[in-house]
This record gives sequence, structure tokens and C-alpha cells, in this order.
Amino acid sequence: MGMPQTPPPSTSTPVLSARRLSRRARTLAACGLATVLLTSACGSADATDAEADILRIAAADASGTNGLDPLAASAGASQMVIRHLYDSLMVLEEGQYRLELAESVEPNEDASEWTVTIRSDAVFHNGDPVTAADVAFSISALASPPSNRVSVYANVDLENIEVVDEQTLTIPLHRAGADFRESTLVVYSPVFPAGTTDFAEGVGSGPYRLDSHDDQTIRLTAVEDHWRGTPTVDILEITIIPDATARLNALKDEQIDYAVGISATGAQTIADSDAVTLHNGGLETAFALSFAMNQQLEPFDDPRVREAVRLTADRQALVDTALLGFGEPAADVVGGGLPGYSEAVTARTQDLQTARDLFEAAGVTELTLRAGEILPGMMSAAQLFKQQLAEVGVELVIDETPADTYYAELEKLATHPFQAFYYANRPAAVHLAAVTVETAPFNVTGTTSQYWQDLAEAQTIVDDDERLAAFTTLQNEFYGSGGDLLWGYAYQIDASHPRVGNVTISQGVPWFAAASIG
Amino acid sequence: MPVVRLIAQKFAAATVTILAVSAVLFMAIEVLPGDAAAAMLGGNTTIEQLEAQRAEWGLDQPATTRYLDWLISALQGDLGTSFISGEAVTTEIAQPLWFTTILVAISAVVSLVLALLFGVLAGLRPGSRLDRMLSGSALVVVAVPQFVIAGLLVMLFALTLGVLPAVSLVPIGGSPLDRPAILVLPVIALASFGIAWAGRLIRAAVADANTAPNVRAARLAGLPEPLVVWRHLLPATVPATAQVFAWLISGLFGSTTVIERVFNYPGLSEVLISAVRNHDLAVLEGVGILLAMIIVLAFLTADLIGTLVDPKRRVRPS
Amino acid sequence: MTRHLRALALVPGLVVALIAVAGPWLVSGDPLSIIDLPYGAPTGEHWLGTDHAGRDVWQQTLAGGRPLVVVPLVAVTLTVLIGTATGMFAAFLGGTVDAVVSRLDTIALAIPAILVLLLLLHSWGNHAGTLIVAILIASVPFVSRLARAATLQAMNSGYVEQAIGLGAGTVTVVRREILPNIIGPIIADAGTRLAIAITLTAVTGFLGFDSGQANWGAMVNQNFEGMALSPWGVLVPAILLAVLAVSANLSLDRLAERMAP
Repeated sequence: MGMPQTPPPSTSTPVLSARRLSRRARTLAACGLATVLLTSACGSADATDAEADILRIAAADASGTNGLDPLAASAGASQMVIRHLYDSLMVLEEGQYRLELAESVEPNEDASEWTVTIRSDAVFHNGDPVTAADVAFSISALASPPSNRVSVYANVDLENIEVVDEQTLTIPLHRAGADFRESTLVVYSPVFPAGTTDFAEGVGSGPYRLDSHDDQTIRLTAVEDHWRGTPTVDILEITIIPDATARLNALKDEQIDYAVGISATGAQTIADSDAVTLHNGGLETAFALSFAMNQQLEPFDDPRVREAVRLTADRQALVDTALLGFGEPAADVVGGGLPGYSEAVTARTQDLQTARDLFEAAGVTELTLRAGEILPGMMSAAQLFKQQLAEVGVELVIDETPADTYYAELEKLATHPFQAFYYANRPAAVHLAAVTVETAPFNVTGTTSQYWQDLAEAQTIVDDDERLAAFTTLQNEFYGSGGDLLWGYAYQIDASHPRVGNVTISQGVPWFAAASIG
Repeated sequence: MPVVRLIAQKFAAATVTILAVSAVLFMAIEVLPGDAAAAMLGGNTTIEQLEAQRAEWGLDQPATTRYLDWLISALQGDLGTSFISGEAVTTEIAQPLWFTTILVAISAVVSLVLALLFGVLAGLRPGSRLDRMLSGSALVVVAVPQFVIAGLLVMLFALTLGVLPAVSLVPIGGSPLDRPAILVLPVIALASFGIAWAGRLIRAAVADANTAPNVRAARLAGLPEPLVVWRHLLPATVPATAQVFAWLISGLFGSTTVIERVFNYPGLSEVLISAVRNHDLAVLEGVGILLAMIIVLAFLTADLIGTLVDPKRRVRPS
Repeated sequence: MTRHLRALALVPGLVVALIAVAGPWLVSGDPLSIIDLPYGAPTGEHWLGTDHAGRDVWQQTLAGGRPLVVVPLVAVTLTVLIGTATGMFAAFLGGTVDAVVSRLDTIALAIPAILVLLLLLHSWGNHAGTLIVAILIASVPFVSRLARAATLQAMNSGYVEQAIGLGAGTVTVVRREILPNIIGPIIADAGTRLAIAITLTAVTGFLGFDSGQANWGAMVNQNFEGMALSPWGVLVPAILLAVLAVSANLSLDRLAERMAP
């Protein structure tokens, strides 16, 4: 099919005179280059909006969707957009649980049924008031496929949700759940109009409405006289840029004003720069990084081995090397710096001697860790931990899996005895209830059935203080003999133009409704 | 007429090729561990929900059934829906495909023009200083990986000199053509390899055609050099150049994947990488088929040009 | 004088090849072990400082050349052998064989190399075998079509007809009339194949697949972002890579010229 003639380069061709041709050719080339440079100069001025404040934001997005579907939102731009478009019943903000759309959320005697009353001044972007019927619809939608939060609402008895009046509804649960607020509503509870099937219009009751969008960018405009007050920034333009380096470059190039999540290396590079400001989200937006041991599987069914592993880790060194210092040591239980964290839980210091003795007593000389670069720095941490284990006479074999297929076989995750893992940092009670229970798909630490019983019981305690105490006990138990070697929190570092200020954290994402462009 | 029959034959062959490509892609993604349900639902599901989702998407059916279903729909123009976004494949990939095509088209034209220049200038005087300079630079450009060139371009032009944007952000609802500055660096990164590679091939073709009897005769007859080149030399290189162009197109579509990532250009790269990662079969097939069609069309055109210009019968031993 | 200059140009390439091949024997300890904080400056002990993960750059330089020499070399050699064989026999034998080979070539060409690479890496992970297969799938069709076209051209030239007419057997014809004529363009093209093979090997890291071994290409990928913090992790392997690829191309070019009839 065809005849590509590529004859050999000939060495015996006489040198020919072609001066006239090459001069013309050279002139042509010069003209061509000039044209390219001229057109580029004309086109490089970014469109500056004649309108008032516009804040251009760049973020990655894990959902792979266009970011507008609250049932498919995932870490990154989509969660950020949903947060600004929709009000939620309750939120976690600045380290505290807060009521937002809900004015009150109260349990009955045994926490088998909850009564939610919403505020009366919330209005959807289409002018309709927000009613209890809308809340009921939203909860049903969030609790049913294709929502990706079905497990969060698993305990809600959908069929028996009752709308009492315009502002009130009752939500019964399958099982008594005294932690309904923090383990369900606070986790994710956006409210949208009843009957919504197509979310492309983005009709919510949040402080921003959807102006326009395409595959890469979403434009939000402020809602005047929102019940929270008129937002300080008129327009938010959120662009999805998957690569952290590209986000930082776009910021340096002043194509955007705020980059959500830059890499540790990027942060270190600009740390001394006056042209860019770093924003450290601290523990509120951090990821908790763990080498998770499954306490049901050998050799981690031996509590000595678990303790030895936890004592071998030099957590500060791991943070400094793998996270370039943009993080802090963790104490084996998720939830540091957030409400309800047990005071008895403090990071173990490295104790090589005891670790060595424990390993010897348990007869362990080799371990295998399944790891992948699921977060930047994870493989580097695995390597350093391997070197730390070598110091106590244990050889660590690292079984590397590509990050993209790490979670590909969900069924297998619960059968790996030792694997690198990470969790979003959330209040301890919420994390334990979501991740360490029987139905959790990612119960990689293999918690026992006794533990599940204790956890379920704790969830039924109606009195807030008593419940807190019960969860504290669970945390301490997990701290004492659980499966996580949670060695560090990786901060999420954002970067912005110096004139951008007052960006806070809400629900684990940057919140721009009160931002200032100085 | 033989030409018409030839064209018809080639079209038939092209169709078979595209069908084969679709089958190969399907098989390839079947082999990957995991599936779309696991990728989509991620960590927030139970095993039952996973099975339910698999059933809903028909993932529990045997591979051949699914392939045939897809094929029948595709032949009727329905490329299916994406597992991840739920949108029709055609809607989902239309814009990225268009954007990538813009990038590839511009790069291809730039490459070809400059490669022709390089090829002719160097090929007419092989061994000369100009030839050695051009060939030497081409060699270096071909050797250095493209993403390194791309990164250096960003560092130089965007971050240091500030004359061109570092990231290719397209205005909302618009296209890269609305903001041509974002195309410059990606095109340079893409075209540099193309110019170097195609240029060397064209140079060889020119050098060879230069020794052909009719060219020599024209020169001996005293024809001015530009005329010799234009009337006798270049026409002989058309088949080879056409082939090079087709190869260039195929190579450029492959290279854009890396370049688009570096510049965050909103083309097929992200769509493709997501589709592979999420086992989004419909999208992968859709993109794969469209790319195959473009490439096959390019080769077809090159072949036809070649045959039309040089329709000699070939000798075969019996 | 030009000849001496051209010979001299190959010397850096040989030096780099030596470093690549012999380097691993000079490595002390595990080049991928973490020795200090990342992006450390060069010290007396660690001559080029540390990389993005805190590992010794110099040790990795010593250890990281071999994969880039071995895999591309093996892959390109196989490519040339397989591609030449298939293309030549397709043209020579014609008919069904030609049709099948040409069809397979076209199918392989129609799928972008990067897609092939992505799919293979996802299935088999980043091993030498995966890369070799990916490079083969991406390169053999080119060489095959090249060989086929060149063979057809050689057969057109009349010498083949003559030889057959004189009673020469197939093997002799192939050996004496066809091979010498097609070797030139194939070797010339092999330079590009080699460059592409090296790039594909290097890009694997960029796409997020680690091989677990020291590797110049991976070094460039991983340390690029932090270049402002410490350039050695990028500059040294990048320059070595470039010198190696350029020299390889140069030598192949010279070889091709020598083989031209």
C-alpha cells in the first residue's frame, strides 16, 4: 500500500550552485517567523473584564465530570463548585460543626428519628423558596444510586421521611444513630430543588449562581442579598487544570489569581517569592497518610508486630523527606486538629530498641508493603520507612502498584495485610464511623467484630458528652492496638496572587464568598 | 476506470482497518485489571452496589456480546455514552477532538513547510556547511525528548521573558483560535520534532531525486536552477513527501498527548488518559476510532497521490 | 580535516555509553536509598547533591544509564530485524502475504503509539518487556513499510529480474540484490527509531509509571519540577541522554552512508 521512497543519502553528488533559491528561501523563512511573532503579540493580552471583581481560580478535579453534579462531586473543583452553588444543611467550618441551611437538627429520645427545621429566608436561584420538601428530595437523591455518597446515607430510612410543614421534616433511621449530624449531614448535605434530574443549570440556594460553563471552565456570579450577605467577589471563574505544575505556572504567569493545591516542590520553590503568596490549609484540608496493617491477617494479627511497626517510624523524618516539610507527624488516629480528638492520642516517638525486641519476640524478619504514588511523596516515604525498618532487622519488600490501578480491585483491598493508604482528615468520630465499620469497603485495617459492636453502641448514645466520651474510648483503643501506622498529615498548599486575601476553608475546600481582592 | 476501482479498493481496505482497530482497542481494555464500575464508584460503595452498577452498565455480559452491541450502535452513528460523565460520547469528545485537530493541523502545516525548506536546502547540497548545520540541529532536536523541549520553552518564553502564556487556557465557550497566543508554544514543541524528522526524510528524497536523469538533463540543458527544482526535482519527491506527511500526522496525534499535558491544552489528551484510567470503554473506542479514521485517511490520500503521480506497474517474481 | 572532526564528534557518545554500561559497577550501595533531605546542594560526600526524594544524584547517574541503553538498543535491533524481514518478504512474495502484512502494518500505525504505551503500561506495569513490546508495536510498521517500499524499488530496478532470469535462487537474490539496496534507508531511519525508543522509555515516568530502578529519563521527569531548587538532577541526565542519542544517530548516519551503493 504505497511507496515511500526514502533513498539513501548520497555522498557523491556534486555541490550545486543554488544560491538564488536559498536566498529567497531565507527571506521567506524570516517573513514567516515575523508573522508568527506578531500574531502572538497581538493575541497574548488576556481579556480583562470591564465588570468589577473577578477571581480566577484553578483546581484539579477527581470526578471526571463537568463539575456540576452534586451526586458525582469529588475532591477538587467539583466539590468547590458545589459548595458555592448549593447550601448544605450542616457544615464543618474552621474546626467546628455549624448549622447552615438547617436551623435545628434534633433527635428523638433514642436517636432513631431526627427532626430538621430549615431557615425560612433561603431562596433558590430560580426564585423559589427552599422548603422541607426540597430537603427530603435532596436526601433521597443523595442516598440512592447513581449518587457516589450512598454509603454516607446508608442508615436513613428513605421511605419514611415525612415532610411536616414548609420548614420541617422528620428523618427516621434504620438503626439508632446519635451521630447523625456529624457522620452524615456534616459530611455532605447539599440541597437542591425537588424534582431536579438535570443539574446542568446548577440551581441551588448558595451565595453564587451558575453563569456559564464548558468542559474546562465554570463561571459563577454572586447572588445579591443572599441570606449570608452579598458575597464580596462578584465573579468566580473556576478552571480545571489537572496538573499541579501547570496550575502554579498559570498563577506565576498571572493567568489565574488562585491555584488550589500546588505540589510541595512547587511550594518550596516559591516560598521566598514576593510575587506569590502561599496559603496553608493546615489540618483542616490535610490528607492523613498511613501504612495500613490489617489486624486480621498475618503477621499483623500479633499486637506486638503492630506496636513494633508503629515504634519504628521516625515520623518527623518521613514528613520532612516525603512531604518536604509541608506537613506534620500524625498519631495513628485520623482527626488531628479537628473536633472530638482524644487528648490521650499523641504521636509515638521512634523507639528502635523496643521495636527490635518486639520484632524478635514475634519472630518477624521480613514484611511486604503494597505501595503506589497515590499521593505525591508516598513512594518516597515507603522507601524511607524501608530504611528505618532495616535498622531494626526487618527487611521490607515494596510491592509497587501504579497509582491509577491501585483501587481497581476493591475486593482485594481488604485482603492486603500491609499497604500504603490515605484518608481525608476528618473528625475522628466521623472517620471511624465511615471507614472502620463492617460495611466500609475500605476497612483496610481489619477491625474486629467486637470493635464494630462498641462503635455501633457509641453511635446510639444521645447525650453529646457521653457520646464524645465513648468515641474517645474507641480512639484510644484504636491508638493502642489498631492497624494504622498513620505517620503524617500532608498539608494542602494553595498559592495566590498577593492581593487575594480572606480565603477561608469550608467543608475542606477554599471558600471565596468573603474573599478580598486588595 | 482503473483509478476509480483503485480508490474504491483502498476505501474498502481502510474500512477493514478501522474495524480491526476497534476490535484491538476493545481487547486491549478488556485485559486491563479492574473495570469501569470500580473506577467510577471509588471508595464509597459496598460489593453489592458494585455488582448492581456492573449489571446496569452491562459489564457482566461476555466481551463479544458487548463488542457487537457497541459495533452495531456505532455503525448507526451512536457511539454510546460515557460511563463516567453519562454524556453521549459524541458530545463529550467533539470539542477536545476539534481543539487537538487545530493544534495538530497547525503543527503539521508548519512542520511540512519548514521541513520542505530544510529538505530542499540541505538535500540540494549534501555535505555543505548549510546541510551539516541543518542536519546537525535536526539530529539534536530529534534526540531530546519532546516534553523536555516543551518544559524549556515554557521556562524561557513564559516564565522568564513573559511574552507567551505558560498554560493554554481557552476562553469559556470559545476555541483556541480566539486566543492564538496559547497555540504558539505547543506548536513549537510539536513541530520541532516534526521538522527535524520530516526534514531529514525529505532531504534524503531530494538528494536522491537530484541524481535522476531528467534532472541532470534539465541542468545540462541550461535551465535556471529554480525551474529545474520546481519542474523536475520536486515533482519526483511528491510521493515520498506525501507519505512523510501522513506519517507526520499519525506521529503528531501521538505526541500531543504529552505536550497537551505540559501546557494543559484542553484537547484529547486528558480525555484519553481519563478514559484509560477509568476503563471508560465507549469514550476510548470513540476516540480511538476517530483518530484511526483521520490517520487512515491521511495515509490513503498520500497513497493515492503517490500512485497517481507514479502509476508504474511493479515487477514480481512468479 | 572534516573526517577527523566527525570522528571526534563520536567520542563524547562513547564516553557516555561507557558511563551507562560500566556505571552500575561503580555504584556503592543502593542508588535509590534516601540519604538526606530532598534538593540538597552538592557536598564532598554527595557530589551532585540529592534529588526530589532525597536520593544521591551522582549514584543514580552511574546506575541509570543502562536501562536507557539496553532497552532502546534491544528494541530497535528487534525492530529492524523484524521490520526488515516482514517488509521485504511482503514485497517479494506479494499476494496474500503482502496484503496481510500491509494490513497489520496499517492497523498498528493507525493506533497512536502513546495509546499503546498507556494500555500496555496499565496492564503489565513498567518493565523492560513492556517497553520493548510498546516500542516494537510503534516502530515495526514504519520499518516494515520502509523495507517493503525499498524492496519494491530494488525489484523495479531490473537487476532482480536479471538475476532471476540468470537462474539465481530466492535466497541469493535477496542476499545479493535486495538487502544491500535497502539496508541504507533502514539504517538511516534506525536513528530516528532509536531516538523515539529513548523518548518512549523516558516518557513512561512522565505518565506516572515508576520502574523501581535508577533511570536517566525518570530522573529528568521527576526532578524537572524542582529544577530551581537543585538543577543537577535534571541537567546531568538530560545532557547525558542527549549526547547518547545524538551520537547514536550520528553513527547510524555514517553507517548508512557507508552502506550506500
